[in-house]
Amino acid sequence: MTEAAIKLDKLEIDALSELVNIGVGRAAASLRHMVGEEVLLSVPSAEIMQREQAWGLIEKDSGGGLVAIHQHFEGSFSGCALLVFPEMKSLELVRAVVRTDLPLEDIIDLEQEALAETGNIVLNACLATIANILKQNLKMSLPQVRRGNGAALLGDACGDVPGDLLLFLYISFTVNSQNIHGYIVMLMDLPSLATLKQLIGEYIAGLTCQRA
Amino acid sequence: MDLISRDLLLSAFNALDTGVVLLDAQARIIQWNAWMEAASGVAAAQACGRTLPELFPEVGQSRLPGVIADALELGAARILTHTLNPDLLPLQRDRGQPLLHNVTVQRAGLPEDPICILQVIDVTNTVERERVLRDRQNARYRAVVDTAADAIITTCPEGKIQWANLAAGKQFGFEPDELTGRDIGTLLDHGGAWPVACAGEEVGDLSIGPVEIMGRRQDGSTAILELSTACWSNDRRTFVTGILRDVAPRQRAEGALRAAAAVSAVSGPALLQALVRELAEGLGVKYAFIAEFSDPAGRQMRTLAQWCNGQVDEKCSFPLDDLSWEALKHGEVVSVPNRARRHYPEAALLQELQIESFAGTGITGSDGQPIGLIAVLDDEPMTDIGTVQKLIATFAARLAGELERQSAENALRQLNAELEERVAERTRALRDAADELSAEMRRREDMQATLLQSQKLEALGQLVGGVAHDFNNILAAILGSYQLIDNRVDHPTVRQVVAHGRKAAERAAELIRHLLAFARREELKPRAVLLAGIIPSLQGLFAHTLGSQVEVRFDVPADAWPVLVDQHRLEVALLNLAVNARDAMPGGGVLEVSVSNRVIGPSDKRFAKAGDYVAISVRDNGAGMAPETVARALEPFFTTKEVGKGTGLGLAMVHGFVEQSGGRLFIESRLGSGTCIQILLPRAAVVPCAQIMDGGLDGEHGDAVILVVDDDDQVRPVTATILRDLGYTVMEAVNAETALALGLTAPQLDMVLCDVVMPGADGPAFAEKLRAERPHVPFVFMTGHADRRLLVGATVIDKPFTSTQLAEVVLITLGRSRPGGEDGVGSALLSGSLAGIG
Amino acid sequence: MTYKVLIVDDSKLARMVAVGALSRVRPDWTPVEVGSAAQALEALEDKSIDVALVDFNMPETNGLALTAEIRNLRPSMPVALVSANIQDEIIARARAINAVFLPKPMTDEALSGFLSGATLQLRRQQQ
Repeated sequence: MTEAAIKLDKLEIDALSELVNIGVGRAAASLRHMVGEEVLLSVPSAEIMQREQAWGLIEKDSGGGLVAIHQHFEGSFSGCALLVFPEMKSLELVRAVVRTDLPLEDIIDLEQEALAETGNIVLNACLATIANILKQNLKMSLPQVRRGNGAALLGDACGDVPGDLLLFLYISFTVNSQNIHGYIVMLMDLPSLATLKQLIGEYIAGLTCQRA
Repeated sequence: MDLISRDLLLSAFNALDTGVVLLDAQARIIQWNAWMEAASGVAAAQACGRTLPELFPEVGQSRLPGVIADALELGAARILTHTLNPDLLPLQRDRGQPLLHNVTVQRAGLPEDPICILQVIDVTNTVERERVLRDRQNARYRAVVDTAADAIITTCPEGKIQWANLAAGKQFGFEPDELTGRDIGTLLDHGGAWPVACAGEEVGDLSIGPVEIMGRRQDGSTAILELSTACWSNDRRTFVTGILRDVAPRQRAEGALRAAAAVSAVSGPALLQALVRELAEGLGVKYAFIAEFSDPAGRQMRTLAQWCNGQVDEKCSFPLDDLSWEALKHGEVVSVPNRARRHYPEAALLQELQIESFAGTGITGSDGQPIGLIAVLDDEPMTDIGTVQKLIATFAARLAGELERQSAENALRQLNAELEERVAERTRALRDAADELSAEMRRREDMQATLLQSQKLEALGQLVGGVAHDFNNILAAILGSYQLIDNRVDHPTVRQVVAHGRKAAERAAELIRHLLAFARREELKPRAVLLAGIIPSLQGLFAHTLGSQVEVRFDVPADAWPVLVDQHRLEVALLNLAVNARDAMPGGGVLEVSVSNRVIGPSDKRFAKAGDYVAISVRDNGAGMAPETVARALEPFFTTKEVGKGTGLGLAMVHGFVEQSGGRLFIESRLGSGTCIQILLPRAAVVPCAQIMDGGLDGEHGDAVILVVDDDDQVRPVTATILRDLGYTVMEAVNAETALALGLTAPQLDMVLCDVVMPGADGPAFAEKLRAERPHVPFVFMTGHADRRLLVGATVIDKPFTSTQLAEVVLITLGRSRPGGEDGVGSALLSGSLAGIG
Repeated sequence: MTYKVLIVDDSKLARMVAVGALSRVRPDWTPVEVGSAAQALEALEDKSIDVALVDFNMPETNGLALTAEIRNLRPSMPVALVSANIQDEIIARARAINAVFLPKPMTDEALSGFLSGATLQLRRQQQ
């Protein structure tokens, strides 16, 4: 199987980003219950790119340290999903999600758990929405939090996922009038990407059939 | 064995030190382990078949039901942390304190027939430990920072205030916590002096020295502040801390100085010399000088600059004469155009220089007090006295400014020196606090590693405890059977084979006892003992066991405190350590056993709880261990000895025993430099009394009716046969119901020997029922491994037992013999109290 | 009576879903697809648009802002705001500008319900 064989066309990428958008919309609704005020989440764009290219983009944008929440998923397509933020933003994210009147020391203590749970909600919602709409069954692992630069995260979190291509999505997070940008990255091996492409193709075809 | 029995699996499930709940596809509880029962107070029977919101209405309001539904429907694995979901389940710890917990929710089973696994993890200790550590850090930090007179503010690299001290709140007119979250730019026109990172760029780690900036208070007023900043990192996060000082007082001093300096382009001594020269040359006189008081009493003058015959002359001192006094006294210029010596015959200066004319005036400071004198003198009369007076008046005004500026400058120099010293001092204190912080974090990591290790051992211990119970039952049957064979056969070869078999079974029983000791399930009989009385008596045993190649040295001071410990187990533990030491010194060596008193203060708490301890060290000079061996040395079955040489239980057993005795065990070892095992045992509060020793048992067997109750068809017949061989009449029952029927109907019943755990009613329940009718029948419980809390006050014989041991217990119970001493075989098995059995 | 429905969504797929649902619940109505707020306003200049379905989450002008502009131009046009982000605040803001909130992914039932309400409203206006 070649990489060209799994290249997604424009409509397929659009479909995937719409699915993730619906997913993060749901995540925003669950986060709203947690935060007690409005949460806006959106995914303005999605792309398929090489690993190195993606990490390069993220690092260029964040200026170094990254924090990632990652979960593995298994099913008709398998891989690893990551929610990535610049490390400098992670405290602000935690401050936005937990009570804002806590002192700095407390926020640092809570950081790891709060990040794990917030990322868990976002990633679950995305993966579950994709699985649900494509009528598939996915098993998802518990979340883990990692820190480091792009290459270290790649090796650490997703070292066991072969393949060089990944699905790369920007995500924008607005809570408590804080605006935080991050990325959702989905790493899959070539057979999984091919399966996903096929499932999306079937889903689009289904829509077209129904219209006719 | 590929398949673990359901019972074994269930007992493991219940032994887990974490809460586990299994839910079916409809989110109804199908398993609820013992941990959950203890923490929630809800029995498994009560929980099964219901949903969590049915069990705890408040759960219905939480995120948990939705998360469970997501797991079952979508396979989503979720973590619910106590941070974001406080009090998710109504759980309590032993003493009613709330149990902080994280919950993970995962799907298992087939997608078409899923179940959901909830794991409840107790994080109370972790949270509490972190809180204590943080409080400790905060106390130190506050001592340095909160009492500071300068405003101290910490921001993230983007300039958002993360923390501010009391002085900062006061400086800017806010409550300190109102500052948190604000942008530093709203308080300071720092013009880049506060290092703020732009997107994608890092804040440098430079410290920026004092710069002056404008600060804005909440009420809109402004203040000039001096700012020093430093960037620092903690846990890979960068922060900026700034110290701000209000410089208004110094600003005023500098303003005055600038005004004074504006009088002339030159300043300092050069200005004074320029003035005297200009004055003398301008007026064409021979002498001109500027002088100040050189003593507090105001009697002596000293020149600051003087002009004499066309050149600058050396400074000199002179006493205040009446002419000078005249000049100082008036607020205007005093002049004597001619014949000055005649007017002021007392003025020595006039005489000395042959002076004809004089003009001068006092210099007054801004407070109106005279600070010096300016004057011109000549040996000719002065003609244009008006110009002379005007010029002197102008120069005097200039001088007043200059002299004040000089004194202000001195004061400022001193102030600056002090300020720098204070800033340096504060920076040092901050750096010390940061160092302290990272040391504290390292300590915390160490503690977590220790905790993890002890949890691992605890889990293994629980597993071992469960398995040992079953093995003991089996061994009871084997040992009894051998005994019966032995009683019935005279053939020497057969008896030899039986003896081998029995010896092997006894070794197995001993091994299980060690296992239980490791698992902390074997009951200890701690007494207050003096090590000085025990350890030296081991000399013979050690010498015999270790061989002549190992030299044994004891160092046990007579004033060593008493310890509360099971003496027999301590001796076995020390022997174990000695054997390990011998094996580490195959070519022989020195084994040192030393005892010392040890006080653990609150600051050494990572070693043990604060208090008095006695330390026993067993040190060898053998091969030593590599760090990775040391790390695993306490695990059961871990051994470095050749296969067949060791069971791998020695050190783990010793560790279990020490922990159970409330002590701690430390291993210190390096490859090539020997090993030292140190045991800390808590000091006993009581003084040991002399040990009661007793002789053997001499009662008569037979002539009694004994009821044997045991559901195990291998154990019961063997037990009954041993008793029958001893001459007793024996009734057998396989369960409590049959036993009760027999017990109530038998015309004579002298004793009941009863298993503890049985299907249906258990041993203690049966005992209660029978005693209602026959209150005086003594009971002996047989147990492989049971919860002894059920059996408080009862007589217990541990399975497996030998026929001799059983015979002894029966004699004691029937009141035909007294219990033996600590070392007696029978009493070693009797762990309950014998009082009241009669 | 048939009507023209303006479907505004930056995602082609989301538009396909909406068009598909419309073709099933109101086969005789006509969809008009646009991919941005600017194109939507252009399309509205043609007065023949009767109903609008607006995605909440779009780059540049978001759905709420666009709905507010549509309200200015056509105060009585039935408009639905479509979003997966089901939060009280967003639903409340949709209501405040007299728009219906439809959850994503769009179901036939939800769309049919909205269009029934819209039909009644349009008939009343014509009478």
